[in-house]
Amino acid sequence: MAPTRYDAVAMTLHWVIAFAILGTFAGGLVMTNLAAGDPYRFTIYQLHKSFGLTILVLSLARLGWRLTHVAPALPEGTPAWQGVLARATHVLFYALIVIVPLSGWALVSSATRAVPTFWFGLFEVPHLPGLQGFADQRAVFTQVRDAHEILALAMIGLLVLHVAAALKHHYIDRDDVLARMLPRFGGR
Amino acid sequence: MRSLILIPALLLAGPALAAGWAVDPTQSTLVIEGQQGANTIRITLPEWTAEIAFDPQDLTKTRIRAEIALGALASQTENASDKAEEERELKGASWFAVAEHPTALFTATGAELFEGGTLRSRGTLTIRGTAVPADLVFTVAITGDTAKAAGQAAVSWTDYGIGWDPAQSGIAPQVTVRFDLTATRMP
Repeated sequence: MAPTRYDAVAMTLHWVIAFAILGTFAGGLVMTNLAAGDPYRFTIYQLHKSFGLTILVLSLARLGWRLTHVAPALPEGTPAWQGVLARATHVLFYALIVIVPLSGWALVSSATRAVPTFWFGLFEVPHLPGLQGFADQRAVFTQVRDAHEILALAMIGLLVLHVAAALKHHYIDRDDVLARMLPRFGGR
Repeated sequence: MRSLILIPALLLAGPALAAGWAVDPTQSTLVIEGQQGANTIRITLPEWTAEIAFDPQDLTKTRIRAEIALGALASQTENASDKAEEERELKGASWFAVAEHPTALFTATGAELFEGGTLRSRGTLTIRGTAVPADLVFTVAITGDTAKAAGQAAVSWTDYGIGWDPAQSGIAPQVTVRFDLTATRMP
């Protein structure tokens, strides 16, 4: 039988990844719009890469949790089309939280001037293999970069949709769809 | 007392000064080689002049004074936009600030035999007004009135307080400055 709430592991991963995605996306917007030669750009890029890799690892953990657990059921009486949409959104979300950071890692690894990645300054993360040595390296890099940007934007679009749906459930439908992903402060 | 003896000695030494050598700029190169991650960045410096006194019979009389026009630096990176960015950044305020400090200066006095038949001249490299010791390790081959010399100096650019944090940019804190020159004995 499906549980009525997400457990602590799922909840922690959900919220940590959620805020990391927002911060990393914001950082990505900032760093790609910095003036040339800005002294902080390397720091911001390294932070963006560090958070991105963290999101990748946490997302894989989350995917692992999801594949080994049963998620809470949709509220009774959910129209079939909403159920299909909810499921599709979640499958796409699980895919994107893995693919977006992975595409970022590929971007870094295919750059014509590949800057090493230092995970929060603690250790160097190697580049992904097989992404260097192309005849037109710049063209490969440009395509990977464009893909990363489009995928990231798609993920943010999905995030907006996801938040809107959660708020709709909470304030309009007044069901427990949002609440079951929230910690029960003080019990209920 | 000592200086009193030294001054006439120097004056007398005038005619015995080591031979001067005129560098042929068309047959001489000066390159900075740096590393960013797995990437080697090569910067050529086509504009420099040097006053060189060198006598293989008396290395202590070696005098080197080289002025390098940093504004003329050229990146050898293939990709045009990366090359342009490297040149702009290196000339800019984070690195050489060529607008305020157009030249770097290397001076050295004396030389000594070093490992493997090379010579070493302990000198000073001044960039952006900061002077830091720099050792030039080189070889010289003289044929008649022509000398061919090649060598290098390891330079830690972080010592000059310039550039981007190696821990963030991945740029190795030490670069190799390499030269290869042909000079003719001055009459």
